[in-house]
Amino acid sequence: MTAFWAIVKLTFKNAVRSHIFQLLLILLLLCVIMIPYTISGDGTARGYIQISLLYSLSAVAFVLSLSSIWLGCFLMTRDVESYQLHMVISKPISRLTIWLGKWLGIILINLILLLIASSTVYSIVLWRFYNQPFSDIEKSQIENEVMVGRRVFYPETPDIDEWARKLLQAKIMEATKGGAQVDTSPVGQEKMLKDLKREVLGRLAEVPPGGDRVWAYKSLPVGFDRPLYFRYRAYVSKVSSESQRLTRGWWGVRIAEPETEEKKPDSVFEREKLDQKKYKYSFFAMTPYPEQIMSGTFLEKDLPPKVIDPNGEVVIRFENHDPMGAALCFQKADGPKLLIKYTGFTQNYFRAVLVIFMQLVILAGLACAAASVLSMPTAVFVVISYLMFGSCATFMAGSSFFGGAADYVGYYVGKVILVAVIPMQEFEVTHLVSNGELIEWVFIGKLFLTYFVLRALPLFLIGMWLYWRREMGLVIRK
Amino acid sequence: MSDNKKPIISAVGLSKVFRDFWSRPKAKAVNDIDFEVYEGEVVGLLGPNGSGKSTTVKMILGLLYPTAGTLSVFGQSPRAVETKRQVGYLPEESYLYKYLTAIETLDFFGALFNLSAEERSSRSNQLLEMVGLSHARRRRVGEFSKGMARRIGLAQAMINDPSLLILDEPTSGLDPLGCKEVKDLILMLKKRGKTVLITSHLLSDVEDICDRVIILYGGKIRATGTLHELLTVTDANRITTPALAPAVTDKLISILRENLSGDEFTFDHPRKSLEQFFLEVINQAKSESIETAGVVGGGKIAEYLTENQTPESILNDLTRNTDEAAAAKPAAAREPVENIDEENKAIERLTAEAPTVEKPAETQEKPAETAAKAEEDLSKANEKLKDLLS
Repeated sequence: MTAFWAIVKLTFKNAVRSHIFQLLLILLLLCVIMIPYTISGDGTARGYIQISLLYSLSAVAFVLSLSSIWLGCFLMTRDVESYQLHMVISKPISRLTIWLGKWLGIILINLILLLIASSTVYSIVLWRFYNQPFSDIEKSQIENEVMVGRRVFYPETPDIDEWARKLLQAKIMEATKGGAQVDTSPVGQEKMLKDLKREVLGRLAEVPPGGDRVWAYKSLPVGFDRPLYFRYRAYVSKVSSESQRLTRGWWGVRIAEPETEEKKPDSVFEREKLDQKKYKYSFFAMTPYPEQIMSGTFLEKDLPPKVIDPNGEVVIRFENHDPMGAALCFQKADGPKLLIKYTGFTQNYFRAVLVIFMQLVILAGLACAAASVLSMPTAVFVVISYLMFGSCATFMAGSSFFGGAADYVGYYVGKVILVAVIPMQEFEVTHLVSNGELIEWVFIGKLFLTYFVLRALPLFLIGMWLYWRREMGLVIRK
Repeated sequence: MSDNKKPIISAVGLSKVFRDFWSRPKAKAVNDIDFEVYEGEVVGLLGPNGSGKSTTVKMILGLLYPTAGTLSVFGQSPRAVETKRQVGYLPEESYLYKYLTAIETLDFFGALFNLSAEERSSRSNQLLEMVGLSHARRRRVGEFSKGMARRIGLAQAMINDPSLLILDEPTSGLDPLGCKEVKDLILMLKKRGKTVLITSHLLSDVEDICDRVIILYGGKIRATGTLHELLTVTDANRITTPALAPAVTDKLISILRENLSGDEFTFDHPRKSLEQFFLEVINQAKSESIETAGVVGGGKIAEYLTENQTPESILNDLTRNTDEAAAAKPAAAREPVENIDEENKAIERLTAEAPTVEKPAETQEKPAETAAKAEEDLSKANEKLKDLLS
């Protein structure tokens, strides 16, 4: 272990004494200190804190991600190309130890930089929260919606395929009754089904003018005694950041109320049956009249805990009252999400820092693996390309409609790439922490298992093997 | 030598072909060579640029892999980690980490041998003193002159008290004083039974310290053997005498002319080597306490490399014969032959047969005894050192 720690220390000293560490630290501190002064937010206190948190933490993650790749490639290749490694590998130390020592050294450098930068962001956010002239209402809003860790519940989604199939059968029956011709060939049926799926998804996303839409949430904690929040973003006419304006909508929520107060039976089972029977469900409007909504931006509303029915279910309803008679669209990714407070800001914030750290560990390892056998610029190019492949593959494999052969090819190529490539955007959690959404341990565990253990580790092992068998004496000195 | 000692390095049919990107053969740097280096030998690997010296050394160090043939170091693959535990390597140029200080450099390389912190500290200090860099212990290696970098490179090669030391151009960049110290050090290591493989372009250095040389050209071994075998010109003789009076010289020349034709012999004054003269001047300056801003010559051998012996005594042992000879010659030169009778007697002694061998025989007896005693002491020291290092 003495030899291993000697390599770790050497890597660390290299970064510190060649002033890379100092430069990165200054850059990071400039980012986290300057960003809050250059943003205006959405004009609200909550928006200001939210955006300064989002931008600062994103900047830290971005700068450190690049530094991980660059440091990994630089520190691995420089030793080889300057022949300094000749002095090291002629000593009794295995190449595996050298590789691991360098990787850990880079991780330590990034960890220190991350801790300094993220602690600075955290301190600045808290300082601004306590020192800005925010009103009590604004402070309460920030505490409930930003500086908090809230568990997210998504609405139940119907089986779109099943729904489309039912619609298809209904259409065929209707056409048959009317004596119209129906294309019953498999290709024709497939095309119709595809069109119907698109129609179903459109129906799910769209609330027509004067129409309504209901979302149901399950598995909420029964007996919860604090307010719930629901977060949504509506678009006028189509999902686009352009042409968004003020519109009107009326939110309602279903509340379960006991019908009568009769004497309950002694048996627990009988009493449960009776309890189920004795609740009546009715929708209540959240506001006395349709409220004004700014489309295209995220909005939050709080709900009393009694909206959770005895089955742990919450049902929310929305009526479209757009003054210009346009349809309103809700994207699946935007929810509306239901949020309940689970933990405080500090814990949630440092969970986000942990995810960023995991991302840096993977990037440093990928850089070391590529630089095990490639020169500095080639290794950087390979790692960046790999990350871009991951980003594109997610988009390609996420396609739900296929217009032609190219769509199918793109879809399957994306799927194949995703087997080996890590989509690093999965590690993007800064928006969660700035929205006050809880970063679940299950999510962190999934990232660790799926991307670190199953995808990154095999690549690291390949890098180590290549490093182990490489003829270092063949490299031309630079 | 090969009869009693085991080979430390053994190469059989060793070849190395460099290939291009498409794996097409580009150059055959080493072409089917066989050689062995035995325990306790100082072997010089010589050859012009591109002869395959560096490729051979890199294969011995496990930096390049042989294309054909077998190569073993201490009976194992050169790539085996355990093999490297007994090897010290000084590369041709300074490949040290420029951002580390001298003491940190030695500490780092000591740590690669898993030496304890105390041991690293102790050895580093001794080595810095030995190579004359104690005053620069906190300076970064990147700020060192070439000579200083060479010295710290040599120190790192000795941190593990290696059984096999591979020195690539060990005296390159060093001043004559430094060269002498390095050569003295190599001779001291040889006395301790260490094996040393040297590549050098400075043939005079190789001649001073190597037992055996291997001369490479075009990737093949062109000559190999001991320096005595290779360099002795058996069909000529050389006689060295104190300065002779003109009459004696004439007499001697006439004797030679009676037996040889004019162009078959030369008669002149012997010359000191420039290195020898330089060292005399520097030693004279040192005795007059003239200060220098450069490297302060260390010369004190690290204690862990000598153990039972005091470093001074080892250096004295090593340099006694050459110093005495060097001291004797100028003394002879300084004393002019005043009396012609004495000179004549000297010529007679010179030309007579029996007495010429008597005196040297007397003077050779004592060094032989002391050498045997020193050998015994050193073998004891080695035993103790092995116990300590194992």
